[in-house]
Amino acid sequence: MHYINETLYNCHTSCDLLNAGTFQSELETIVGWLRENPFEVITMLIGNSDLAFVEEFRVPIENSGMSQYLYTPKYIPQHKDQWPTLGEMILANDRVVMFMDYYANQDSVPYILEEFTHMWETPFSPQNPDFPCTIERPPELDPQEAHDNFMYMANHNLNVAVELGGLTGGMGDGPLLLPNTAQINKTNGAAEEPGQLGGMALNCTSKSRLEVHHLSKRNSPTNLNPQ
Amino acid sequence: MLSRQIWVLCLAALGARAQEETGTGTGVETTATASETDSSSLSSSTTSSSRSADYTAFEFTNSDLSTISTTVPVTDFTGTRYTYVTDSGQRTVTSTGPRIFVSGDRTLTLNSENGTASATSNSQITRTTNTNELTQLSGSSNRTMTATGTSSAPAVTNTAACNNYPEFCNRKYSNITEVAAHNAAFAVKNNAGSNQEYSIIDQLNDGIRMRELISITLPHGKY
Repeated sequence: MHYINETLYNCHTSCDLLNAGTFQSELETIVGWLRENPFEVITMLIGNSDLAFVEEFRVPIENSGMSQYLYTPKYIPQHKDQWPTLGEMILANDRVVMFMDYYANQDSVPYILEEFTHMWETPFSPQNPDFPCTIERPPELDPQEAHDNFMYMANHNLNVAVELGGLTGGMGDGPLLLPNTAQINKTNGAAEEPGQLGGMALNCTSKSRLEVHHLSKRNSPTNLNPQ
Repeated sequence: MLSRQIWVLCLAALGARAQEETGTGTGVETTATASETDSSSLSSSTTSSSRSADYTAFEFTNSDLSTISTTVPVTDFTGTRYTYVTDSGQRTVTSTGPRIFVSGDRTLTLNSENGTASATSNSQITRTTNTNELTQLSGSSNRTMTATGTSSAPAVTNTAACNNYPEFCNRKYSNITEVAAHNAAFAVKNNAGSNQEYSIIDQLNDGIRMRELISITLPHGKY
């Protein structure tokens, strides 16, 4: 999300490289879908790359009509077992949960939740096809706290590092990460096997986490799955 | 020499695909080359995909372009630019009450916040409270009615599915795994930097229930 001329844009890296339009126009699109699909609950995670003030997001959210669907939690922060059921959220028409990674302020804008007090993330841009379920963000998070109170987000996309120095005559900035599309059918497969989505979910969800949690105390404090 | 030619062709194929479609995409719906496009690949994470056959590793052997095994420094998300809040306690904000939700011919019933919702499609429910708030959604108008009476009021049947699964109605938001789309908005035609091939609406209709505007990912569905 980039803040240019007092408008928030969906841009990647730079708005000169890839500009997907304004934040408000995207919200309007989603609001239209929500109106047509009254039994659906969705989640949005805003990457606040320009570290804009969270209050800036209020304008497009109110103008697009999104605010009527936004869920406001009962607790700050809201622990894992304190969330309502999907049915309850649908009844209340609070069908969008919005997180922001950095500089959320739930006292100022209560419907934009601080991501890293509610969920932890596995490593960004992983290259390990085994997808170990390791906490990367927030740093220094206590594994017991993570297990008891946090949801998680698994970065399940496989990248491959390629050295481009030979092609660019050594002018490059070092290795480059590319999506490992050769393995895509395995990576995106649902089966409960190592390297697949089901396997990752098993790694990260409660049953296996409870087991490996004891191991993790002996090993790295943030490694939930020492394998 | 041969492997180098293959790689150049591979690059060309990716480039051509980016030109004619909307980009190479991340995770969910991309295919490596144009040779084998699986139209159902987007939903493969929620349907069973037991393809566990041998997959060819992504390898290059020529000297100009090679994969490396060392960890590439990616953003480490530390430093003064990034702040992480540590909450030592909780604050309570609001509370809500029991309601019934009707949309078209589908009804979703909840008794109270203790989570005794009905998710079965044909069973009958006996009301235990005297007053229920009934919200009826028809067209664009919302009406709120209050039904007062004794117990054993007419049974309300739940025929709704929450996020496509009736059994999810009774499950906490935090106890359901949803598939997320990384950089969900970035499906820009003829831009090789696009992360997604399909529009936001297509993604939603295909089952993506979490969107990231800028960052990462895609976990798992149906857990």
